[in-house]
Amino acid sequence: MTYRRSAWIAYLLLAPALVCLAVFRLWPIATTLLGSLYSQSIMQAGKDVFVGLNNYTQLFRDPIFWQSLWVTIKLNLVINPLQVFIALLLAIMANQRFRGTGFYRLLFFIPLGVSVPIASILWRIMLDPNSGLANSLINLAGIPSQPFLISKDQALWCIVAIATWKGASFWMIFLWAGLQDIPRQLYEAARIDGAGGISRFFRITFPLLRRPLLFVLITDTAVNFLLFVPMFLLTRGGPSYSTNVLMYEAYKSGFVYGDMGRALALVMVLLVLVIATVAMQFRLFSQEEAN
Amino acid sequence: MTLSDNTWPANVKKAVAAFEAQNPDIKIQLDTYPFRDLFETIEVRMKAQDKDVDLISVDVPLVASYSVRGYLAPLDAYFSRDQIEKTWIKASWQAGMYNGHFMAAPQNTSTQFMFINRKLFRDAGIEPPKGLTGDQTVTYDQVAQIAANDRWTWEQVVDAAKKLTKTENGRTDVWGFAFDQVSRLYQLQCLGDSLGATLVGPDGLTAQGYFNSPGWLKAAQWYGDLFNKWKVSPKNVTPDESPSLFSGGKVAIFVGGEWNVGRFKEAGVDFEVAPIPYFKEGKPASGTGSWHVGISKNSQHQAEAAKFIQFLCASDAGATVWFEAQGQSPAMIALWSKISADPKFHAFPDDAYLLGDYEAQHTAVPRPLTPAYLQLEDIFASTYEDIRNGVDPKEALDGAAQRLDVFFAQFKR
Repeated sequence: MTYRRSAWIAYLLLAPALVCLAVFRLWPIATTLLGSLYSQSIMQAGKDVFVGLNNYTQLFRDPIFWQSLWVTIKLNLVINPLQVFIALLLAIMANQRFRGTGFYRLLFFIPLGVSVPIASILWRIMLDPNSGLANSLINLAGIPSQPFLISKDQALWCIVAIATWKGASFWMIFLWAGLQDIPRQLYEAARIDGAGGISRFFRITFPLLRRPLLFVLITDTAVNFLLFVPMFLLTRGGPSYSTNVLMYEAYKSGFVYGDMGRALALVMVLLVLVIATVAMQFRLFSQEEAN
Repeated sequence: MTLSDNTWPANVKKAVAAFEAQNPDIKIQLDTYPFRDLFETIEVRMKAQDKDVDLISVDVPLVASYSVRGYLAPLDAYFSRDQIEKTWIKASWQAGMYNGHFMAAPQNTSTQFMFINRKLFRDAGIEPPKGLTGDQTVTYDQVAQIAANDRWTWEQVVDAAKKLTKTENGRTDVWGFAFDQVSRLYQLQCLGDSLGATLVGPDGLTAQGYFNSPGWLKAAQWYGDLFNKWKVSPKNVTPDESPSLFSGGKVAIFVGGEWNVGRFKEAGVDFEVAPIPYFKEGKPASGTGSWHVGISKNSQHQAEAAKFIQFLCASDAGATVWFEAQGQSPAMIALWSKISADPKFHAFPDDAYLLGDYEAQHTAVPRPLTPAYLQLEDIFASTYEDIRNGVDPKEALDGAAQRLDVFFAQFKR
């Protein structure tokens, strides 16, 4: 009886969160799934018709879909470890206490104050191949001018750099908070026992930072799978579809081509991809924890 | 009442103010968006069946696309066939028809010119093409003579542009040539048209063999060479930025719309207006078609919206306000008659409208008729942007044609 009553109270307390989850997460996913099974009718203006899995079969036959999928995977394989690594490095640096720490902490925070659209436009001006600052600087070093965002070999990596410049300082805050939670006595004890810097990092910092790291890695992955603004503002998916990630392709299908069925099918594929990646990351981390 | 409109808010406001003065019981609320966002906003708001939208600015090749998808309410109840034929030039009203219904009324049409910076030509010691300048007044016949006999070829343009481009220490200070709407279909269609090549098949839904035909391949190669081989035109410049390069004296030859005439005059550029060039082996071809206005199917104020369309597009007062504010070639027959009779339009730079009239009658080619125009336009722009950035034209056109046919197939089902 007591157990039953306490279970009810728990459900009651969870109810607002569960309702919000259902309304703002599960319901949109359900309508997206349903919408991906419809297509607009050409014969009846403005009417949508049920087409089953046709949007998906059309998608899987489209070479641009496969290219966009590859670009999305390639981007995420590089950007997620890179952002987390740089965020961790910045967090460790920000966690040090010596003269002038405040100044470089401020430097790390500056990108946070710049919105993604503004950052994208600033970088576009700096990376301009005709008269940008980046080419002027590398010319000084004797390196010839680079095409940057207008080259199919460089554009994606320029976007990785811009998103990392903006994102790393954001993720740093979570890791820095995690670092501050680690008791200083542990480091002191380790130092007395003769442990060096590297040993202290791998035996104390890394294990005790596992949870914030897992949070950052998973959230960062979800954010970067949906990365869209730099592609929208800087490259429009080009050159030669080299920055045409699935999210941008979905946007284009829905809002440029007016093909909402295709857009929703793309979003469902993206959702499956994000869930699979996040599940894999959870598994890897929990296996390590068990070991 | 909301008017979804685009990049000319100040000009539309003048027309709205004139309408509201005549109709004090109707108030118009304008929603304006930058050009590149307008089409996406229309998609979002129409898909959401937004009842606040009453009037939509319709880029003319989208009449079919919007009609197919049920965005527009037919205007048949407000305009009789006789009235339509007597009010607008044929090409314009026909472009507003879909399946026998009048779906959108012509606001204006458009034409393309070649603008020459006379100072940069003088400095380089090059004789400019014969065109319209501030030195003389002209009649329509004289303008027609220039267009028929003195039109430059694209080959001549490249020869001059090479001599006009000034590069020092790897940095180009003056570019020989630039297009106005860089890499956009509206701007570049004249290249293929000049070589007799069409972008899509007669059914409007076939790209293979058309988008990548030998004619378009030659046009695409020429376009890519401007940036990569001859290096006479700047990369990474957007259509928004391109006209300011000409008005700032950084571009010597500029091919763009007639709406630039006023802008360049205001900027104090010493320029002349010449007919749009053509390929030596082909024939002259120029862009045409522009904005129409339609009523949203979800509008709760269709009668009031129709009244505004009558004023803006079909009344002497409204169309004159719009023409004087916007400066684009009118679609209304009565306005053309006024232009021909007014001495102001025989002196520079307003005599450019006479050249526009000649082009409309002799060289204008409308954009392709296809319900998949949104896809065609977007893929065209990304393909030609790739070619501009150095991708092999054949590879780019073949890939684009294949992709377009995937989209077109959906409309054939």
